[in-house]
Parts: sequence; structure tokens; C-alpha cells
Amino acid sequence: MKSANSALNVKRFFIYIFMVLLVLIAIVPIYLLLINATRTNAQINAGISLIPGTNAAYNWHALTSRSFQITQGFFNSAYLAVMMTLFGVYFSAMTAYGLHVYTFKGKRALWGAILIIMMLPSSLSFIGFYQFVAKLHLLNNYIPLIVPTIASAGTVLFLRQYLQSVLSMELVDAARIDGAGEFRTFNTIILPIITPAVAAQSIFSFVGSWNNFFTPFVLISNTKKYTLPMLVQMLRGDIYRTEYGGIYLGIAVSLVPIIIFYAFMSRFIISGITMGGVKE
Amino acid sequence: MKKFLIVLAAAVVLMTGCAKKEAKASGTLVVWSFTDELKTMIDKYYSPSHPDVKIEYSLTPTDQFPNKLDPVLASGQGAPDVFALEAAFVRKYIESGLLLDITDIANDVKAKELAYPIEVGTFNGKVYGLSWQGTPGALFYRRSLAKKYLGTDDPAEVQKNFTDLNKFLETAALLKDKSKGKCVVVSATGDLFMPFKGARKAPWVVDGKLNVDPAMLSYMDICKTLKDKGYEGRQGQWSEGWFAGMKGTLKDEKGADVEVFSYFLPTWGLHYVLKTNAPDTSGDWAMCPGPAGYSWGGTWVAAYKGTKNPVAAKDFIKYVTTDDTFLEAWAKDTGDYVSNNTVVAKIKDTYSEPFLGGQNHYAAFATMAASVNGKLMQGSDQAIEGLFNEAVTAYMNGEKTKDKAIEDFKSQVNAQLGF
Amino acid sequence: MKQKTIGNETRINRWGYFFVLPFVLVFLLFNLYPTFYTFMLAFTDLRGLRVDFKFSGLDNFVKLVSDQYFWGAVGNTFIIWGWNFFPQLGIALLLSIWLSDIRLKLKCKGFFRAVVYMPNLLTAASVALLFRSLFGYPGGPVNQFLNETLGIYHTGVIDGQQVQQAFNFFRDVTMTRGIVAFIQWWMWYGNTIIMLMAGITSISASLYESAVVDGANSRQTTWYITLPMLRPMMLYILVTSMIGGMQMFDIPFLLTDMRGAPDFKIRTSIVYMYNMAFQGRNDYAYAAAISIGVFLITIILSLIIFFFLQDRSDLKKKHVGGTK
Repeated sequence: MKSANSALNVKRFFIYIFMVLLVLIAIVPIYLLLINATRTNAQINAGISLIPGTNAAYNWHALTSRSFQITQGFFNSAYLAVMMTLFGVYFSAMTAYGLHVYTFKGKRALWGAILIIMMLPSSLSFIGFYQFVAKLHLLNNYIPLIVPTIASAGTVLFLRQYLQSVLSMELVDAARIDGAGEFRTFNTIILPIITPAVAAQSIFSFVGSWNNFFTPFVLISNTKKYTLPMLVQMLRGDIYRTEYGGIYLGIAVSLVPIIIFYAFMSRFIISGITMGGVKE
Repeated sequence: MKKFLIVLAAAVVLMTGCAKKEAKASGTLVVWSFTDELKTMIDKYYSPSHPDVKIEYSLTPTDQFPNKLDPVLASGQGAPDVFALEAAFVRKYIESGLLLDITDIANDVKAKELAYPIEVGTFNGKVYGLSWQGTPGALFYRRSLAKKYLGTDDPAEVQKNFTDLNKFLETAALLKDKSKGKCVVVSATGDLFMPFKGARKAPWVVDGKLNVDPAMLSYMDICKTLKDKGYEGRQGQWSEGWFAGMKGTLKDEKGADVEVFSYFLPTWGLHYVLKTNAPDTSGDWAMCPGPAGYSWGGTWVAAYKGTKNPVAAKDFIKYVTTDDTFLEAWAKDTGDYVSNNTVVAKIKDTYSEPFLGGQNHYAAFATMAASVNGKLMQGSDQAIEGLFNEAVTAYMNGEKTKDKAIEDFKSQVNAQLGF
Repeated sequence: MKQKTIGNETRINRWGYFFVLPFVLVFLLFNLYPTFYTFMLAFTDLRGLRVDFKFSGLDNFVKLVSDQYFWGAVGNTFIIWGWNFFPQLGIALLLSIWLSDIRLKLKCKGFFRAVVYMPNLLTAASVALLFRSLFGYPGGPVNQFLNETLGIYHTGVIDGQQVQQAFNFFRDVTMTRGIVAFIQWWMWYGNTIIMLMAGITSISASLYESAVVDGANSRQTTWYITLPMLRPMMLYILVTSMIGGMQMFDIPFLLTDMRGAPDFKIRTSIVYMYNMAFQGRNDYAYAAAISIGVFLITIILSLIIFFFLQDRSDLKKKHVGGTK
């Protein structure tokens, strides 16, 4: 018995070391990135440092003294992220519910189409998308960024799986007998039940939209409407000398809200992915 | 009474004349660029003198600028009226057929303008873009190192060591020898790319076929020689080490000092690169023409063919790229080498640059500007040169033989560009 | 009563259309149209800044099949994905098994999971920027560490003599691929660990209990219970990772010179497509053909994987989440 225990202890010891190593690997690059936001250009290019520098104020000046407003970009990004998440998750929940609860013609075809489209590389259907938006005179507008999230195949997939494992038809029938309309049932009874999954998807969607660079970049040319990642990229517009300190600070400004958001919500993300994996 | 009437008539004529001029250029212009340069021009000079024109300015960094411009020009939706074009991609748009024809302006100013920027902005006999600046390139060297190893720092004398590419190599060897390996002629082999490009006799694509000019083959050879013999500093252009070489603070992996003799830079290189990054070495630099005349960079201004305000657009371009008063003020403000020869002739003798130990860089550039061949630039240059650089690096580092590198290069160009 | 129910059912089922309508509408407009446009483009010769084009039939596809650089890019993509995926799965599997092992009673599971997921929050651009500067030549931090602290140098030859120099990481195909694979791994392994742990948690504890009672040790429980039960989950992770892997773009693009240097060996299929579409002569038609080619390869491979590796005796429903 005792030897079995000590064998376990040895094993435990080595596993802990391995875990510590992995935690370090995960954190150190992020930490370096944040530290660089406080150092000068010369310092950054000379090497890495684990200690913060004292250059944050100068870098902040480099970041904000350009012809664009970083705070404006911050709010633009926040607005877009919130809207895209709201639309994306709500309508995906609606669609997932529709696919789960009802039987109608074309349901299987729709489901198949959703799965297949997920496999197509997104970079090129882009041209058609751009031309379409241009024809609608919706360039420089947030609408073509927000509306397409209504059709988020991945989110629908995820929520449908969750519904399948959590929502029983008895519950739905009970709600119907109570005389509630279908749509009301959905809003007042179903949504609360799937809140954990919705929360998890909201987090994925929020982070994804916050970090999204390419689509807003091609659609928006009015500097006042630029998102945060676009503004950070603009720092590289100084063709004579790249102010790396400013860029890293810009990255930090984009990153820190997400990390804080994540720290509070990590419980949901973890259980969200877990939920998707729950086998029935 | 008569006098009064005459004066009144004259005043009316004058005023209608002025009013006509102002009424001609009015409305709104959407202007796109990739730096703040144009914005400064607009805010400080153009808008005050053209109050009737409202400017909407938008900035996108250079490396994303074509990505931004392409879809709007192709579809016509959301296209700006006027935009700046960097040398790296100017030809792509000049050759596209999507720009406003400004040959009339060009003909107006041909006599007083530097030739090569107009050549660059010309396609099939029509002019689509003009530039306010000329960007000839020179060889900037450290006076102290020249005195130490070449015995003189006088530009005319130093130039004798760099008259052609062969002499360049000889001098490189000499520098290494005399400094016992401490001094390299350039910090990056990439420095030589622009001069060698300028030495070409024909562009990259001739009659729809890829043409590898002998100058480009020489470039490959010299890069390899410089690397193998240790005549270069192994830095990448625009890297921290490249800047360190200017400051004189470059060290190798063992911590030993590396002295960098020279940098190949154009007009804007003096102000935006050398001066900004190596202020402490002020006075220790000088410039000479180097082994070949070349130009590097530059910004052109063009307008969209379907602009809703062609009158204002043309007026804007003419003002910004050719107006005597504006360009003289601009030159005095920024030290930029302007494309207006009248202005240049007027101000060139007034310059004595402390950074260069008192040398008159403006007059020096004026001589160099005349020898630039503006017909070598093409729209496919950027793509071809990206592929070519890979071949040069592979050969230089010993990864491939010269023949294999060139063969692969041609194959890639064929696959991606069809030449 | 039955008839009434049936009538009710049909009426209620019509609500299905209502719920999926917004999705379908937006999907048709903003997804399907662009997708068909891409499919159509592949059969044309649209190129450059023009808007007019002619139909060129299967020209682009003929060119694609015989394009050595396309297949090279596909090969590059697979290699880099493989280097990323198999260690990812291996390590994640080990960890998830250990962390779920009741006997080991490891602590700080929640904290560990939360931290290893964090790299997934960063943008590819930020990560590429950081790693590009870390491995810079000749004076980047990694080089400084190797040269100055550890005294390890690369031997170069200058003028016939051997010289100690820094490592030019980004000119070495293996190193560069390794760095790209590492970054992909770094960004996604936390995700995989969490998914696998979820899979393990759902394995009935009674199975383990009865196995232990029968005298099985941990290696046996892992081999005979955990792995087989995890098979559907691992399969799902494999397929989603492969789909994402085939579309690998950000890191190979931003870490190299946008072309997959050195020698285009880091040029993945989508980097190649981007080069064609948005650089050079903007050959949108050929780029569309490339994207269709990638799509077809992805579908065929997914089908093969499912066909051969699906646990037929146990047709569980597909699981979801998101992995690369």
C-alpha cells in the first residue's frame, strides 16, 4: 500500500512540474507582450525583459498623437462586438431551436448546408461579399458587419448540440399546454434554460469580433469608424520608423479588456466548451 | 468719375476673374493617402488658399493601401477623388486605365518640371500621375571613417573610390583590410538593390516576357561576394541593427564593434532616416553619387477616372505637385527635394547642411536627379522583386546555386504573374 | 383526438420556418451569393483591376491540377498542421487523463485550464509580431540567449575562415515551420485539453470503478476504457483541427515575408491563394479555383477520416465546440 502511494506521489510530482512548465509557456509570451508596451523602441529591439520599463507615457503619446483617436477606436470596437454578439447569439439560438424542436421540409438539407459551408475557406467569398455590400451602398457602415452574424453556422451547431442534450420535448409541450405562443415560449422559457451555452458562445463571439481585423478593414475607410485592431495596424504607417513601443501598447490596450473579461467569465468558457462535448 | 469707373471696372474684372478661379475649384474632395505628408500640405497650404474646397482625408498604412484602394477603384463604389501613390505600387495604377487623364496639366508644366517623375506617371503616351518631389539616391558615408581608411573625406575624392561596381568591390576589400575586419562597406546587402536597379538598361518585363537585366545578375554576385568575404554587416534593412550602424553602435554577436562605412539612401533618407535615427553623428556624414544613379521611393498624386469633381481634382494635383509658391515654401519647410526645376534652381545654392558637415545636399541631389531613368518602373515590379529577393537570399546564403535560384525565380514568376 | 393532434402538429411545425427564417435569409444573401460568386469566378478569367471578364471554362482547374506550387503549398500546410496537431493531441490527452484521474487527485485543475486557454485570446498579428522579433537575426532575444548565455553559436564561413555567428532562424525551413507549428500549438492546445477533459468527465465513473475492482492498473484503464470511449471526441477534434489547419493563414503569412519564406516552404494553400488574389496581378479567378481546390481536398479528407475511423458500433451524435 505504502509503495503504491509513493509511486503515485512521484508521478504526481512530475506531473505538477509538467503543468507548471505548460503554464509558463502559456503565460510568458503574453507577459512579454505586455511588458514591451512600457519600453522604448530601442529597448524592445535590444532584447526581452521581464521587468516593466518606464516608457509607458511616451508610448501612450506615440499611440494617441496620431491623426486618429484610440479611445474612439475602443468604443467602436466595443459597440461592434456587443452588437455582433447580440445578433449572432440570439438568432443562432432561434435557429437552433427551430431545427431542434420542429420537423419541416428541408430541415435536413439546411442542416447539411450549414455543415458544408463551414468547410469553405472564408477569404475568397470575400470578393463577392464586398461587391454585394458596395452595390447596396453600405460601405463605411456597420450594418454589413452586424447583419451577417445572424447566420453564424458555428454557433447554431453548438447551440443545437446543447439543446439536444438539455431540452426535452416534455418541457416544450408543457409550455405549450400552458397556452404560451411559440415565440413567447422561446423567449421566456427556453432561453433561460440554455443560458450557460448562450453565455459561452457570447464570449467566443465577443472575443472573435473584438479581435477581427480583416472585414472591417476592407469595408470601413472613415477613420472615425475604425476599430481598435485597425488603429493598432495604422501605427505601422510610419514608413520611416516603426514605433514598436506604441504598437505594443496598442496591442496591450486591445488585449487587457479581453483578459479582464476572460478572467471573470472563464468559468463559463470552460463549462461552455465542456457542454459542447457532453455526450448523451 | 471716369477714373472711378475705370477703377470700378478693373475691380469688377479682377473680382470676377478671381471669383471665376475660385468657382472653378470647389466642392468636396475625398483624399486618401498613406502618410501624413499630404495632410500637412493640405492643412498648411492648400486649404487656406482654396477655402472653397472641402477636403475629407483618410489615412491607411502603406502596406495595406493597395488592398484598400483596389476594390474601390475596381467597383467604382466608395472611390476617393484624389489619392497618393507610393513608388512601390504607383505603376500598377498608372497602367490600370482607372485614373483621370491629366496630360493637359503635364503639358502645361513640362518645361519646368523634372522629367523622370512625369515619365513614371505616363502610360501609353498619356499622363495620369504627377509628383511634387524627386527622390534621387546617393551614397552617404561617414567622414571620420573615410579619413581613417581612405585618407580623405572630400566628396569628390571619395567618389573616385566608387565610380563603378567593380571599384565598389575593390574599396570594400580595402576597407576590410585596413580596419582589420572592423569596417564593412554596408550594413545590409539590401542597400545595394536600388542602385543596381537604377543601373538597368531595361525593365523587368519586355514585350510581355520576363527580362533579367545583367545588372540584376551582377547584384546577385555582389551580394554573395559581400557576404562571403565579410564586407557587409548582415543586417536587414530597416532592422534595429541597420539603424544601429548609422549611430555607430552596431556590435556583432561577440560584442565587438562593427563600423559601417556607408548607406545608400535617397533624398528623404537624409531627413527621415539618418537625421532622425543618428542625431549624435551629425556633421560626420557626407554624400557622393556612388556607383550608379538611381531613385528610391517617392509619392505620386493621381485622381480617379470617375471622380465627381474632376475640376477640383486636377486643380489640387496641379497645385500640390507643381505650384511654384507652394513648392518653394514646402522645400524650405521640409528640405524635400521638389520636382519643380525652377524652384530648385532658385533655392539650391542656399543650402548648407550641418548634418553633412556643411555640404550642399540640395545641389548635389539636383545633379543626381537628372540621371534617373523613369522608364524602368512597371506595375509588376513589386511582385517580381519580392520573388527575386527570395532568389538572391537563397543564393547569397548558399542555399541554392545561382542557376537554380534564377530558374526557380523564373518559374515562380511564370506561375504567379504569367510572364 | 389523434386527428386534432396531427393538425396541431403540422401547424406548430410550421413555426419551424419562422424560427429559421432570419438565418436562412441572411445566409442566402451574405453567404450563399458570395460563395456562388466565387464558384463562378473560378470559371472565368477575372484579373487585376477590371470588372469585366470572360468565361474560360475549366482552364483554371486544369492549371490548378498541374500547378506544382499549389500541391507544394498543400504539402506545406499538411506538414505544419501535422507538427502542430499530433503533439497537441498527445499532450492534451496525457494531461486530460491525468487531471481526470481520481487516484492522482491533482489540484488547481480549474486554474490550469483557465491559463492554458489564454493564448487563444490573442490576435495572430500580435503573436506573429512578438515571435518574429524574438527569433530575429542576428540580434534577437533567442539568439542573444543562445550566444551570450549558453555560448552556442552557428558556424559560418567568412573569407575562408570559420566564424561564430547567430542563428538565422527564418532562413531555415525546419526551424521556421517549427516556429509556426509551435505558435499554432500554443494557441490551441488549451482548447483541446478542455474538450478532452469534457469527454472524459462524461465517461461513466462506474466503468472505472468496476475495472479497479477487477484489479486493473491505470495503464489498463486508460488503454481499455478511456481511449476507446474518447474515440468519437478525438475523431471530432481531428476533423475540426484538419479543416482549420487546411485554412491556416495568419501565422504563416505574418511570420514570414508574406510569401512563405524561405523558399516558399511555409507557403500554405491559403497564403498561396492570397498571393494570387491580392498581390501580383490580382488573379481573382485563379484564386477562386484554388479555394475550391482546398475545399474539395478538405471534404474528401474529412469523408475518408470519418469512413475509416468512425466507431461504427456506436454512432454517437457529433460534438461541437471549436478547434483548430
